[in-house]
Amino acid sequence: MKKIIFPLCLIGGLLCGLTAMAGPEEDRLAMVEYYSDRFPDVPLQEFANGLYAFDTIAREQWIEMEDFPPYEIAIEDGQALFETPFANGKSYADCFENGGIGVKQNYPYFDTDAGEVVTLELAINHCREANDEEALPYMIGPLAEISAYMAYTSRGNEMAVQVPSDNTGAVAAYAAGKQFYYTRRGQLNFACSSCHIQSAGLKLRADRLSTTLGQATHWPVYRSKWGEIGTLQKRFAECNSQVWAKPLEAQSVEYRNLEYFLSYISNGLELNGPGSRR
Amino acid sequence: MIRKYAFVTICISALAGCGQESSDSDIALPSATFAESYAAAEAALAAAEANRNAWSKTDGILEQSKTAYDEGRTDDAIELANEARLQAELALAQSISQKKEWKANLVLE
Repeated sequence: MKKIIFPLCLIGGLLCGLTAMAGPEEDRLAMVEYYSDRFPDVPLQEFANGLYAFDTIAREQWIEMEDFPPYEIAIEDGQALFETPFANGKSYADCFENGGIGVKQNYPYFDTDAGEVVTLELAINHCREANDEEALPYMIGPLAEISAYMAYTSRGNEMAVQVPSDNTGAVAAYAAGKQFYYTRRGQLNFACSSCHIQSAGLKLRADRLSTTLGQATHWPVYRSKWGEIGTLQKRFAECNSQVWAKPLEAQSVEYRNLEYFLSYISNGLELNGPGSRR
Repeated sequence: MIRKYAFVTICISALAGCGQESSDSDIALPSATFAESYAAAEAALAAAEANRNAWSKTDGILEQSKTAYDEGRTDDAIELANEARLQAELALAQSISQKKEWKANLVLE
């Protein structure tokens, strides 16, 4: 009996070890394969459009809405804010690579010196604080508008988030974000994955559930439900509330790690933010 | 109130798989006085929040408990405080178990 049990344990242990070691690129490829199998008629880039990739009726309404996109004003306001110099004469352009134009595909990134994930919104506020300006609220308002403008200048660029395999901090942050995505939370005992992987494409009340793939490409988003433009982390907080979990703070370590994971998964897809959703 | 307890019971059932690390003794019986019940609920909620996984309705139930006490409805106040405590303890048990069990939710590896 021992002769049989030992090899089985060894194989089991190896399989568990391989599972635990699955890295970001393995995860991303697994997601691509999973959703391509599940939605064989949906071209890969279409996943960047969320549920509109596979809900025909909702897509028609969305395309009509895009004729006069509700986020247009936010882009204009964001541009004005972006181009307005700080009191010290410097501007946002001085804080970002390429003057902040067309750079959103590189966010979030792991700042090795600080030992943390930096989202675009966090970087905007870091820029403000470095120039003696007060930080802005993270979920809605001027910061979301600046982010919308920066997203607009990045449209068409492929998401290119980096999780360097030799950077233990970055790998750990990605892994923590992944763990959050699969962790059941709240009184309803749901994980993000319960809806967006296991039940992706199925109807939840009036809407179909979007796929993990592409979830990070189109932010900030003007949601009709909100009546304004908001950041991805506002959506995180809303999702947590919907499963009766108390939302965490915007730009908390947990939410930034989650955004890092989600953004990496969308690598290779073209940015299409800001977006509009119901 | 019975409906609320019924709902919490359903939640306990739903969380059966993630309550493995907390023994039955972790969910204590209702305390005798409002002060004890309320303090126990606050402590349980603080523990859940420290673990970054409080449930969204618990704060409100605790507030209702305080209001009931202020209005002289002590029995209701104790019952609500105990409900808040139970929710907080379940949230804590959920987060502790999910630290190991989250991998069971992986479907793509």
